[in-house]
Formats: sequence, structure tokens, C-alpha cells
Amino acid sequence: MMTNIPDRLNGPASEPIGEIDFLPVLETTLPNGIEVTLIQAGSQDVTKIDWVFPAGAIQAGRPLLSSTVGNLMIEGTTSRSSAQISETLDFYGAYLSTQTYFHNSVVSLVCLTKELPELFPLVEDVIRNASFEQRELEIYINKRRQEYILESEKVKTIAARRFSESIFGADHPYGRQLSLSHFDAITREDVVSFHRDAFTPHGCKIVVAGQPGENIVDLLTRHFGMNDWPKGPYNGNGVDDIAPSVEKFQLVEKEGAVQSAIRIGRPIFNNHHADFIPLQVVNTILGGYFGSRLMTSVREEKGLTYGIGSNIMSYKNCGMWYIASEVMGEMRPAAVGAIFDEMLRLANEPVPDDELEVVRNYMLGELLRNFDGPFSTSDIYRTLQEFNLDFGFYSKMVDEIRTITPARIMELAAKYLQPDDFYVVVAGK
Amino acid sequence: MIEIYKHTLANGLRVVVHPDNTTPLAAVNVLYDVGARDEDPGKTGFAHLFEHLMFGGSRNVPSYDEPLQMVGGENNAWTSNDYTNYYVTLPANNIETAFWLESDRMLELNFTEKNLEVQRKVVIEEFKQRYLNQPYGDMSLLTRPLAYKTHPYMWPTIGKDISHIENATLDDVRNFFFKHYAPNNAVLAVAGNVHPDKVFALAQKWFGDIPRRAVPQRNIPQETPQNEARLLVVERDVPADMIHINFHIGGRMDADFYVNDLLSDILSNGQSSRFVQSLLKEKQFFSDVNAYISGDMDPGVFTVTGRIMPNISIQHAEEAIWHELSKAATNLVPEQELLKVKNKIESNLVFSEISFLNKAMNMAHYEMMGDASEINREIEHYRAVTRNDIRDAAARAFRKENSSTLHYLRRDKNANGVNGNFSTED
Repeated sequence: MMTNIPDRLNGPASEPIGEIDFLPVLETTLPNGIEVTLIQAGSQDVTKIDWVFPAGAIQAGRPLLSSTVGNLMIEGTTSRSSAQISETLDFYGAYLSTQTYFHNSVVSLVCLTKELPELFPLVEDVIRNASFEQRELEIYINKRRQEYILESEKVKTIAARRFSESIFGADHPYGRQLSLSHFDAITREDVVSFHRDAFTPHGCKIVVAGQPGENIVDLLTRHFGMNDWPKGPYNGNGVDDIAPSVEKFQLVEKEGAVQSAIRIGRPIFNNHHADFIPLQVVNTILGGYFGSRLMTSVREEKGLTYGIGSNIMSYKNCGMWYIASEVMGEMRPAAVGAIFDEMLRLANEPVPDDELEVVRNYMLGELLRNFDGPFSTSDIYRTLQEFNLDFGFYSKMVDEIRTITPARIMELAAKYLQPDDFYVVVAGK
Repeated sequence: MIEIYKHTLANGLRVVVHPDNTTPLAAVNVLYDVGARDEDPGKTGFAHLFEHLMFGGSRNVPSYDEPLQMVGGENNAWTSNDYTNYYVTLPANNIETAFWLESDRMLELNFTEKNLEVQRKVVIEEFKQRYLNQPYGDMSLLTRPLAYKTHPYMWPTIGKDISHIENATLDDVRNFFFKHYAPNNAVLAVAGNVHPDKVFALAQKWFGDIPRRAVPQRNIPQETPQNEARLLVVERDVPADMIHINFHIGGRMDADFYVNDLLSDILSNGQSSRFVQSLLKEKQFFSDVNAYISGDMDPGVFTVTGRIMPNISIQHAEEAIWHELSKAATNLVPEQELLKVKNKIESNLVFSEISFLNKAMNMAHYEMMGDASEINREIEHYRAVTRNDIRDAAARAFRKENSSTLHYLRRDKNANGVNGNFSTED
């Protein structure tokens, strides 16, 4: 029973954060072997479909090629012009786009469910029969080149690029950076052959989310499931061991910068390692939420930045843990010092119980938010699938968040937050 | 279609609720009718600085964030030229915590010198990060005073000058609060796994005893009609020339809002739009080109911007833009093309209703404009726009004497200047 007198000093009673109600996942296989995942939920009659191809930057073997293929597929097929394709998509209020990652490329369609039958023939045509006209390639490359040049002016981008080179190695696929010469080198032949080899049923997976209607599997089978679609050679995604640089500190000077972008981090294992999940808690305390130690120290106490955060990223056979911020130019050494102070403090002092309680509840609430609705659930599912994991990974995370102790956090921090293991990259001054 | 329940407290706080039982979460959104347009010309950037101060603790609650995180919540806020908006998402069973925190800071902020000093620094770093340290970052600092000579839309929400933030005093802050932060100057919107009657009861419990405050009648100097073309030319260390043109149009509540919104979609929304097809792909004059309306409450602007390809002169680029604008102002748009942009509005409306937070924000906005239920009639307003409306709106807006143009030019640097810092990028 609710009282009517507000207790403004103590606030209302609260309840424990509820369990994540993972949406049901249905799996099926099309006649040609493509695995389909269905996550059916949501209050709106909308559908999101992802076609995942083993066609990332790794398979392409060099920067720019896989993203160019992905983006150019919608710029014309053997029977539809670029203008016809965009006209149809816009007329039905649909979005078709491609995202390129290291190990795959994902073609995504978001649309009103009632338009699916009209849009499927177009998406099939785009994926299978993209024509890659020379003129479209040139328009695209010229535009991308300008975007690249613009991005290269930003201290944040300069720091991020140099940082990846430092911790993975400039010749490693994870550290290798795009440069202007790649724009000049790309040819139509490269594009056509990568599309022919990599965007095929071989290794393709489809993830459907939303309210796609009852005949979705029939539609998928008709357009993407038959054996008339030739299979390409499958590329096994292999990458060599990373080769971090010897230099632990790098400064890329940028004339006239009033802020310096900093990245401080280290290579680390990926989400298959037993310490990965508990480290998520350590990371959240350090820089993973608004009340984090880095935000409190560098922003709220010292006023040196507008924002600072830390993150752990997983790749196929390694990962990285990094802190990123843009800080007051002349105070950059103080900001870097404050960041290392917070890392050491986690290793040397137990986290107070009330702070840990806040972090536990914040993280449990954040998981509920991340799993809210079919679209975000399917994005998480797709990533888990890439690492051969399932929702059980997040059940484990919930358990860990609830039970981890201050002693364990200190032990992990002492092990993984050693300043000597960290690389510091500064762009600006 | 959004199901909406409304109730107004005795102190004037308007409460709107939308139950959505497909989520275990809820959003609590408080929209205050105060923005950068309500600032003193000598104290700009204040509404936004104030938004930062709202997280520094209130009368009975020393920390806003901590108790919220303790119940699994997350929050943020934004400031525009018209409004300041605060929002929380949290597990629905802990929704009362959001009522506690939001009501206490509406009741009274804990004004401290220390909080002001730190947030001044943080906002100055935000100013640097967004406006000074990005290529083209200062554009809105240039284009606003070019288009507006009287109206406070002449400055962006960050303020017209860093010194205004540096000089803010605790007295300024206190005055601003009691002038604008009041139940009778706000809308509380809640969406998610909630029951309307429970929300109304919680609103009464936590917000009911906050006194109504004397919010001054808004008296903003309005812009007089522009009658000659304006041009500003600047040079900066940027990789490419940019052009930015503002045209005066009506405000959010004027009938031409929907017409201009569709007109901007015809010009640049989606790959099939006129600007993309003609200027970007056919002529290849631009690497990026856009048209959009400000959607401000007072009469706003229709903006056209383009980042120009290195081998194209800004004069050529500008002519090509004007050619498209004149075409829209002279010829009727084909029926099919108008239908296309209307369809896209409709599908985007459906997509936006996937998120309970979006729904809470939109309800608050529409209630502030007059009636939250208008959200459900929005599509009718768009569907009613005719080909003639579009042509007439284009003819009214796209006149040289109604234009304020910025040429943002690349300063000549030596040969490989654009990428000179990149010794590692082969």
C-alpha cells in the first residue's frame, strides 16, 4: 500500500531488479543450408532482417574493399538502376544498408511488415545480382575519400587509429589502417570478385526480428533458400597473433588543437576467457557509467573533460580494454595521471559496499534495457552467434554481477590494470 | 496510434501517460518550457549550463545519479533553443524513485559554488569539444547571427561566447531556477509498463506539494522580415569548402510546418531524393548535401548545406543548389514523389513508436505544444499537404532576399597539408 506522504530524505522503497526475460529464439535451416534465426516479438508490425555474410575486412584482405562492396550493392543490379532501387526503398519507407565488421558484413532491412513481399525481390536482386558499374564505383570512392579526409582532421579519430596500430600492430588486420592509397588502388575487378566469392549462401546466416508474419520462412526460402544460388569458397576467418608495438607512449601533434584526444588501453582476451565477465564489473566501476570513477574524478571533480569512458571489446581471438576521452589541451598530463591513479586505486583499495551495490544494480538495469525489444535482442544474439555463444553468456553475467566480491575485484584489478601493460596515445598536444 | 491518459495537478503540472506492457521498463520524462530563447543576450548558454547543474543535487537529495543507478535506472537530458528535457529509464517496478528525484529537483536545487565551478569547466570543455575542436564546428556560431538579427535564435544553446559561461554567478543560477523551473511550466510524461491511475497518484504524492511559481510571460523580440540577401565568407583550416544557406520560414505551430518538412524530404531525405540524385550523383558537385527545417516554436529556418568536392568552385555548387530550389518553387512535384515522402513519414512514425522512451518524449513535446493526443493526428496533417502547397512554400522560402548564405572556405595550405599529420598512414 502506497503512503501519500513523500519521504523526501530517504526516497521510496525499491525492489530488486527483475530477471531478464530472454525472448524466445526459433531456429530453422533453408534448403540450401542457410541458418535462420527468428526472434518474434514487439508491439508494432515492423520487421528487421539481417543477412550475415563471412565477408568482412579480414576476408577482403585489405581495408576499404569489403565496405565498398557492401555499400555498392544497393547502387545497381543487372536489372535495376541505383535510382530505381532507392526509389522503391524510399517509396515503401524502408531502410536497406550494409555494415562491415572485421569478420563479416551484415546487410540489414528494416521495414513495415506489410511491405515485405514487395521488398524481398529487390533485396534478393541486390544481394545476388549487384552489377557494380564503374561510374557508381567512382562516385562512391570519391565521396568516401572526402569523408575519410574530413575524419582524419578529428583528434578523436587520429587517436583511435594510432591506438589500434599500437596494440595490434600496424600490419595486423585489427591494427591495419585505411589510407589514401587504398582509394586509388581499388578496382572494379576487385569489387566484383569479392562479391562473387563472399556474398553467397556459404556461411551466410539470417536473423529475423519483430513481427515478420506467418509466411516469413516461405518468403526467405523462395528468395534466399534455393540451390540455384551458387556457393562461393568459404573463408575461415583466420588471423595471426597480434603484434603490439614496443613504444608505450605516442603523441601525434595536431596544430591548433584546443583539446587532446587520449586513448589509454591494452590488448586483452575476448569473451571466452573466464575472467571476461567479472572484468565487466571492474570496467563499469572504472569508466562504464555516468557515476564511474573516471567520470567522477576527471569530469565531476576536476572539470578536465566533457566525457570519459572505458570499454572492453571482443574480437575473434583477442580483445582490447581502453579508456577514451577528449581533455583540456594544456591539462593533458594531469588527465592522464588521474586516469592511472584510478586504475591503481582499484587494485589497492577494496571497492566500498555501497558503491558496489550501485554498480550491481546499474548493470542489471542496463542489461534489462539492452534486452528490451526484438531489434536490440537480435543485435545481441547476432554478436553472440559470431562467438559461438548464446544467451547463457548473459545469465552467467547476471550471476557474476550479483555475487562478485570486493576482494575479487581488487585481485582482478591488480592482475589486469598494471600500468606497465598499458599503451597511451595522445592526439593534439 | 498511441493510447494516452492525461491529468493536471492543482499546481499546474500536466501529466501524460502511455501504458506499454511489452516492456518491463518505464520512461519518466520531464520537459520544461525554457530554452536558449529565454536567455538574456548578455548571459547566453544559461539554459544549457543550468541543465548540467540539475545533476548537482537538490534540496533533500545530495546526489541525483546514485539513487537512480541504485534501482537500475539511467538518465540524461538535452537543451534546445525552445526547451530543456530530462529523462529517466528504469525497471517499471522502481518507477517511484524517478518521481522522488525529479520532484525534489523541481522543488529546489542545492545551489553550491563548488557545483557551479565544476560545471562551468565541464561546459567549457563541451564548447571546445563540439564547437572549436571539430572541423566546421563553429558553423552554427556563424550562421545563426547571420539569419537572426533580433530573435534570440541568433545564438546556439551552448551560448554565443565562452565568457558568458565563465562569468555565470550563483545568483544568476538561483534567479533562473525560480523564474523557469515550476510545475506550471512543465510536462511530466510517463511511458512503459505502468498503470495510468498509479502514475497520477504518484504524481500527486511527489509533485503535488510543489508550489506554483510566477513564470513570467514570454516576450521575445520577433524577427522583422528580411529583404536583402546576406552573405558571409570565412576561411578555416578544413579539408573542403562548405556552403550553408538559411531561409526564413514559419514556426512549429504554423500550417506551413508540415509543408516545409515534406519539401525538405523531397530535396534530401533518402538516396532517391533530388539533392542526392542530382547534386551528389549526377553532377558530383558535393560529397554531402542536406536540407532540413529547424522545427522551432518561433518562426524558424529552412537550411540547405553542402560539402563541396575539391575540384568544384563554390559558385558552381551554389548555382546547382539554386537550380534545384527554383525547380521546386516553379514546377509542381509529381504526385508519386509526394506520396513517397509521405509514406516515409508514416513508416518513420511507426518505427519511432517502437521505443517507449521516444513515446514519452514525444508525448511531453506535444502536450507542451497544446495536446499530447495530437501525436495521433500528425500523419493526417502530412497526408493533407498538396502539390500546390509544396510549390507555394518553396516559392515563399527560396528567394535570394530571404537567404543568409555562409561560404565556409578551405584555407590554402601547402601541398599535402590535408593529411600532413599522418606519418603512419602510408
